[in-house]
Amino acid sequence: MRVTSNMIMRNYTSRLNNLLSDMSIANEKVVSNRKFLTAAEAPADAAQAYLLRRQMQNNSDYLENVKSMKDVETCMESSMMDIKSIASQANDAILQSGGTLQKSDREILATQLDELQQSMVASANSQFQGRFLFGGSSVDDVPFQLKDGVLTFRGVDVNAEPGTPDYEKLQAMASETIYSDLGLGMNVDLGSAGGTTADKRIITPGSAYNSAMPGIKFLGFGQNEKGDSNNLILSLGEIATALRADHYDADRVTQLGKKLEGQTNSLLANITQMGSNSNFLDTTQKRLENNAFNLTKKINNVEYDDPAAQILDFKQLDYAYKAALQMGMNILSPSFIDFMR
Amino acid sequence: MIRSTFYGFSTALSGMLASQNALNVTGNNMANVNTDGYTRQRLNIHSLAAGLGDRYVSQNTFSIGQGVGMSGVSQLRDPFLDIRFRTEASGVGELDSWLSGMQDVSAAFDETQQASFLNALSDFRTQLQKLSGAANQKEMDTIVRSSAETLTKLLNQYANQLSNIREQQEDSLKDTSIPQVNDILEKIAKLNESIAESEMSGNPALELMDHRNSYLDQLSTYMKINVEYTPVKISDGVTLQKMVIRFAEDPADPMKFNIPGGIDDPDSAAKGYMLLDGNTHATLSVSKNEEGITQIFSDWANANLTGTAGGSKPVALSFAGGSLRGATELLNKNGEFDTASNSPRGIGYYQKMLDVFARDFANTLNKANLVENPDFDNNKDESPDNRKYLGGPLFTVNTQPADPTDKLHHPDDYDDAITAKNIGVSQNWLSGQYGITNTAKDPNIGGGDDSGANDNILYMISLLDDKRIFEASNIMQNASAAVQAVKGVYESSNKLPDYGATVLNNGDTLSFSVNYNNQKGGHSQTATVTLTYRDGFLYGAGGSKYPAVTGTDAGHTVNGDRLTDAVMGELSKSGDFRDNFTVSKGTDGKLVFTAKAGGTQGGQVIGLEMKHTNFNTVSGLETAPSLTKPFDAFHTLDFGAGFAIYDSADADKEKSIFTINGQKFAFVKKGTDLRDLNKAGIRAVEVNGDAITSDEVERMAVQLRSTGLTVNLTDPASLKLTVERETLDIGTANIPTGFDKKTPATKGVYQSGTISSGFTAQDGDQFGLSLTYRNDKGDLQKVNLNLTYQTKTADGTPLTSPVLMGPDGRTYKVTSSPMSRNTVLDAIQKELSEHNPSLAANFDVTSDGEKLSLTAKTAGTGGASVESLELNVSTERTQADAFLGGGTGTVTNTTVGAEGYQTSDLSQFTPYDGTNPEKAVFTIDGKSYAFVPSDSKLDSPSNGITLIKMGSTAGPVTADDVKAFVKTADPAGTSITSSGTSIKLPLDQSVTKGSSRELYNGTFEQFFTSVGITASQDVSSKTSELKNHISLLNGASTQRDSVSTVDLSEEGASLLRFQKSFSAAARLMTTLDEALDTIINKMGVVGR
Repeated sequence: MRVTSNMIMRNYTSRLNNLLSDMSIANEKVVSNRKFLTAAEAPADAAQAYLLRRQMQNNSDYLENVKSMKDVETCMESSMMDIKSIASQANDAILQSGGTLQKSDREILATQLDELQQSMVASANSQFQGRFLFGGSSVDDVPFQLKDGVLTFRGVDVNAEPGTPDYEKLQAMASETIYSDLGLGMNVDLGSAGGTTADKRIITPGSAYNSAMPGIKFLGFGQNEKGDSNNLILSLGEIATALRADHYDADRVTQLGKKLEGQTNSLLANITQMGSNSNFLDTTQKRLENNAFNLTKKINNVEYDDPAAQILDFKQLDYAYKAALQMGMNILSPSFIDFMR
Repeated sequence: MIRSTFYGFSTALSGMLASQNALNVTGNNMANVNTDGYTRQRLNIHSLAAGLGDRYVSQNTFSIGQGVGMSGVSQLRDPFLDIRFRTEASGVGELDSWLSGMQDVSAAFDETQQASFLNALSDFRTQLQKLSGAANQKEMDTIVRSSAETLTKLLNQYANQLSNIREQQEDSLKDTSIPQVNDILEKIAKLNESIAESEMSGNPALELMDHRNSYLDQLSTYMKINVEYTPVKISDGVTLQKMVIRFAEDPADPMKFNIPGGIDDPDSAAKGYMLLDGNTHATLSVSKNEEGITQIFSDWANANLTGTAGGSKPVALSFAGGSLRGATELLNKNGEFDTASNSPRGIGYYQKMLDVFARDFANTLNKANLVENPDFDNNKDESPDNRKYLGGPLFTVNTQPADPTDKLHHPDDYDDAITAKNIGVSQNWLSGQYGITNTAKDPNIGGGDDSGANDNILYMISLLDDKRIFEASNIMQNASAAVQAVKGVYESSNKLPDYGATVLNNGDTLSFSVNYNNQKGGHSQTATVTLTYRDGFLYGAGGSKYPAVTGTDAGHTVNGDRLTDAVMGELSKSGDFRDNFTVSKGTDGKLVFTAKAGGTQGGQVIGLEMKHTNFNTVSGLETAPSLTKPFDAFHTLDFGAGFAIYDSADADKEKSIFTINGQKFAFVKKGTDLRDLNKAGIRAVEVNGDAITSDEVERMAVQLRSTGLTVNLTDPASLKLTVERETLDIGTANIPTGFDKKTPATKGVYQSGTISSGFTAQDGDQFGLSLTYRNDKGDLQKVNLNLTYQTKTADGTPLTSPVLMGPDGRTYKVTSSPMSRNTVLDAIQKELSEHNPSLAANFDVTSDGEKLSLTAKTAGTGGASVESLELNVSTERTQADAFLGGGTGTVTNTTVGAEGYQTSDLSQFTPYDGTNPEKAVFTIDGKSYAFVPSDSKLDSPSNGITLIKMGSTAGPVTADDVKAFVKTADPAGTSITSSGTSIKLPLDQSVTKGSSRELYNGTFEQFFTSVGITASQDVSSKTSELKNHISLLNGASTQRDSVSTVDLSEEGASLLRFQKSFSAAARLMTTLDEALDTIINKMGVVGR
C-alpha cells in the first residue's frame, strides 16, 4: 500500500491522543484505588458491588436488631430473676413459719407476704427504654395492677376460670408476639387469623425472632381444679389470706406453699429458656459479625484493586506515552526532497 | 515518408511542455501537502501518433511518434473508498450522538463512587427496622418519614435530571445539528452550481470538488447518504456530472416511513429519499408533536425520483444511520415499553422505568399501610366513624393537598398519577394525621393498646425484600382509562306491590332475598333482608325502623313504596352485597341494582324472591311454659335415731362428733368442759338428760345456722332437721347413724302452657319448638325442632292424609281437621324422647294431651334444667299467593345493559404510526388492533397488530372507522356491534388496553439497580461498538489517504523525473539544432 507522510501523521496523532486518555484514566484509578470508575466501565462488577453493599446494609440492620434484642433480654432476665428471688423469699418465710402459729405471728408473716407481693408486681411492671417489658404487645400501659386482692393483666382478671371469655383473653395475651427481623429469612403472610376473614400479617414463627414475654406467660394465669390461682403473685395473696383466716388451717397453708414452690420452679424454667434465647442471640450476633467481615472482604475484592498493579499499569502507559513522543521526532523524518541536490 | 525538417523540434517542444506542466502539477501537489481534503492531482499525458501514413505502402516507410500530448489534470480518488468511508462515518455518527446522551443517563444512575438513591432506599428499610423495635415511639415514625422524604426527593431529582438530558438533546438537535445539515446541503448545492459553470467553460474545478467531498464527508456523519452522479449532456463535447443525494432508508426498521418512491416502494427502483438534486436541496426542520415525539421533517416530503418540492413529513425515523438517527432514537425509543421487539432503550425507557418504580413503590406501601378495622360494623354504612380500613396512603403526588380527615381509604385505591417526578410523602403523613400502621391484629384483647405490636412494620420490610413483577402496563395511563366495560344494571320486572290482601299481624315478617354472583367470583351468594311488621312500622336488622303505612291506611296495609324504601335501606347495609351493588329506585318504583365493577368481573344478579311469613297467633301455642323448679339439696339429720352423745370419758367419744362443711359439732353430756371443746373448734350443745330432746335439737339448729347453713326444723317429734345448702360436706368418717345424707332432692318438672285445640293448617306451615336447657353437667344445650305440615310429597303427589314432617323424613299422621293439639304434642313428644338421645338422657318427656312436660331425670341442682321453652307456629307464603293474593306476576330479575361491555370512546386512540403502541393499540380477547391513517404503508398485521385503515390521513377515529373495525374483528357480525365511536362486546370477551410486558422480577432495590446497570451496560456495549466503527473508519480513512494524499517523497521523485525529462527534451532540441546547423552551415562547402 502507498504510505504517505500525511497518513503517518494522522495515525500518529490519533494514537498519541488515545494513549493520553488511557493514561488519564489509569491516573484516576491509582488515585481512587478503584477497579472501575463508572458502572459503564464494568457493569457486571458494578451490579455485584451494589448487591454486596445492599447485603452489607441489611447485615448491619440485623446486627443492630440483635444488639437491641440482647439488651431487652438482659433486662427481662434480671427482672424475672428478681421475681424468682422474691418468690424464694416467700417460700423461705413460709417454711420457717412451721406448722402452728399464733395469730399475731401469722399476721406478721401475712404482712411480709403482702409486701413481697407488692414488690413482685413492681418487678413484673419493669420498663426498659420506655417500654413495659412484660405487657405482651402492649408496651405503653402498665400491664399488672393489683387492687383489693384482684390482679389484672391489661384490665383482665388473671384469676379467670378456664372456659370463661376472660380466660380466653388471657390465653390470647399470653401467646402474643413481637417479632424482630434478624435475617432468618423473615416471611410474612396475609393469612386470616383466628378464623376471621380479615387480612392479617402473620409472621412465620422461626423466620423472625420473637422477643415478647407477656408477664402472665411465666407468672401463670387462671385457676387449678381446686379453684386456687395459677398465678404466682396471687398465690402469695392466697397464702396471706389463709394466714389471716380466723380458723387457721395449717394444712392449707402448707398445700399453698407447695403450689408456690411449683410455680417458682416453672418460673425458673422460663428463665432458663430465656438463657438459651440469649445463647441464640449471641450465636446470631457472631454469625452476623462474621458475615460483615466476609462482605467487607468481598467488597474490597470487587471494587478495589491492588495499588501496586495499578501503579504499574500507569507506569507502563506513561512509558509508552513518552516513547511515542520520542518516536514522533523520528516519524516526521526527512523525505526524499531533503536528499535532493 | 519524407518528414519535415522541423518535425523533431515539435517533438522536443511537446516533451518540454509536458514536463513543465507536470512540474507545475507536482508543485501544486507539494504546495497543498497540508491542505485538508486536497486530493493529489496528476497530469494526464499521452504519446502522440505520427499523423497519417503515406499514400503508398512501402516497405521502407514507417512513422515515428510525434511526441507527448496532454489531456488535462485529474484527481487520484477511489469512489468505492468514499462510500466505505461515508458508511462508517454514519455509523460512528449514530453511536456517537446516542452515547453522548446515554452517557449522561448512565452517569445519573451511577452510584459506584457516590451512593445516593440506593443508599436512601436502604436507609428507608433500616429506619423501618428501627421502628419495628420501637413501634410505640412517635419520633421513630418521624425518622422513617424523613427517610421517605429523602427517597421521594431523590426520585424527583432523578426524573428532573433525565428531563434535563432530554431537553439538552432536543436543543442540540434543534439548534446545532439540523441547522448544520441545512448549511452543508446549501454549500454543496452552491458548489455544484460553481462546478457546473466551471466545467462548462472547460475547467475541471478540481479544488471545488475537493471542497464538495469534504462537505459530503461531514454530511455522512449526520445520516447515511447515497451520492449519485448522472451524466448530463450540455452540448456536443460538454457533458456534466449532475449530483443527487439521497439518504438511505433502513429496510430493517419496522418504523420506517414508507416514502413513495423510497426503498420499500415496489414501484420504484430508486434507493433512498432525495435530499439534494444538483443545485437545489431540501430543508430539514425538527419539532415535537403533542405526544412528545421528536420528529425531523423535510420540506421535500413528496420528493422521490424527481425531487418535487412540497408537503412536509417526518423523515428521521427512517434514517439508516447517522447522528440524526441516534438522536431521535435516544429521544423517542422506549425499549421494552415499545411493542417492536429489540427497540433500543432511549431516555424514555429510563424515565418510564423510574415512573414504574415510583408508582409501584408508592402504591405497594400505601396498600400495606391499610389494615382492616376489626371494629368495623358490617351492618352500617362505611363512614368516617365506621371505617372499614385503618391508616392511609404514605405517598401521593407531591402537589396533592392533604386529604380531609373524613376521607375513606381502600386497599384497591391505586394512584395512577404518581410518577418519579411528582412522588412525595403524603401531606396527611406529614401533618401526623396518621403514620405507619404498626399492626393488623385485633386490638383490645383486654386493656392496653397494641403499641408494641409491629407485625405490619415487618410486613412492609418483607415487601421491600420480596420479589415482585414490574410490568410495563402500569405506565400506560391513557391506555387503561380508555376502555371500560359497562356495569351490569338489573331491574326488577315489577315494583313491590302494596300489601293489602291479607291483614298483617304484629310479628309477621317479610323477607326479600337477592341471589347474586359477586366480584370475587363467589357464585350464588344470597343477601336476605328480613323485615318484621309491628304497629305500622317495619323493623330491620339492628333495630332500624321504617314507616310501613301511608297516611290514613294505618290498618296494617304495607305500602309498596314504603316497602321498597325499607328493602333498599336494609340492602345497602348488607356487607358483601353493598360491596358489589348500589341499589336505587328505577322507573315506576322498580328496584334497580347497579354492579359496582364493570364487565364480567362485576357483580351479577341471578334472581330475586319475596317471601312473607305469617306469624300465627290462633293456636295459643306460643303460650309461655310454666316451669317447676327443683328444690336445692336436702339432707336430713335425724337426731332421734340412736344419735350418740359426747362423753369426755368415753374412749369412743370421737364418734359422736359430726362435721358439716368442715365445722365440727357435738351434743355433749352435761358437765363436760366446754373450753376444751372450744379450743378444739367443736361447737357443742349440752344435753341435759340421757337422750336428745327437741329442745336440744332446736339449740343445735341455732349452732348450725351460725355457720351459714339454712336449717329447718321440719319434724320436732322425730327430732329431725333438714339442712338446705348447695354443697353440704358431711364427710365419710364418724357419721353417726341418723344422718340420712342420701335423701334425694326433688326432680325439676317443666311444663308448657295449655295449648289451644284445633288449628287449621295449610301445606308448608311450620310448628316449631325451641328449647334451651342445661344438662346434668351444666352445659347449655339448644334444641330446635320443626314439624312441617304437608299435604303432598316433595314432588307434588297428594298424600292420602296430611302429615307432620319431622327431621330425617319422619312423619306423623294428622287424623283430624282442624288438626288436634294432640297430634302436635304427640309428634313433639316422640321426636324429643325417641330421636334426641342427649335430651332424653336428661329428661322424661310426656304429654297429657294439653301440655308438654319435661321432668329431669336427676334430682336436685345437679339435675338438668330447662332455661326456656317456646312453641310457635309460622306459616310462610311466597309472594305469589300470599302477597298478591294468588295474583299477578312475580318479582324476577331482568337484565338491562349487562349483555355485554360497552367501551368508551374509541376516538381517544391515536392513529398508529408504528410508534407508541400504548396510545394506539387495544386488545380484545387477546387480539391486538390499531387504527392507521389511510395513507399508511404498514402491512397488516404489523408486529402482530391487526391494522384498521381509517378514512382519513389523520385522526380522530370516526364512527365509520369503528364500523370498519367491527367488520374486520367480527366478520360474521355475531358478537361485536358498533355504537357511534364505541363498541359493544359480549360479556365473555375480555377487553384490555395496550400491551403489558413483564419488565423485571425482583425486589424494589434490585429493580432500581437493574435500571442503572442496564444504562451502563448499554453504554458499555455501544462504546465498544463505537470503538469498532471508529477503527473501521480509520481503516477506510487510511486507505483513502493512501490513494489521495500527497507524499513529499513521491513528489520529490516526480520533481526529479520531470526535471530530467525536461532536460532530455531540451537536449533533444539542442541535438536537433546541432544537426540542423551541420546541415545548414557545415554542409555544401565543396569548392570553398
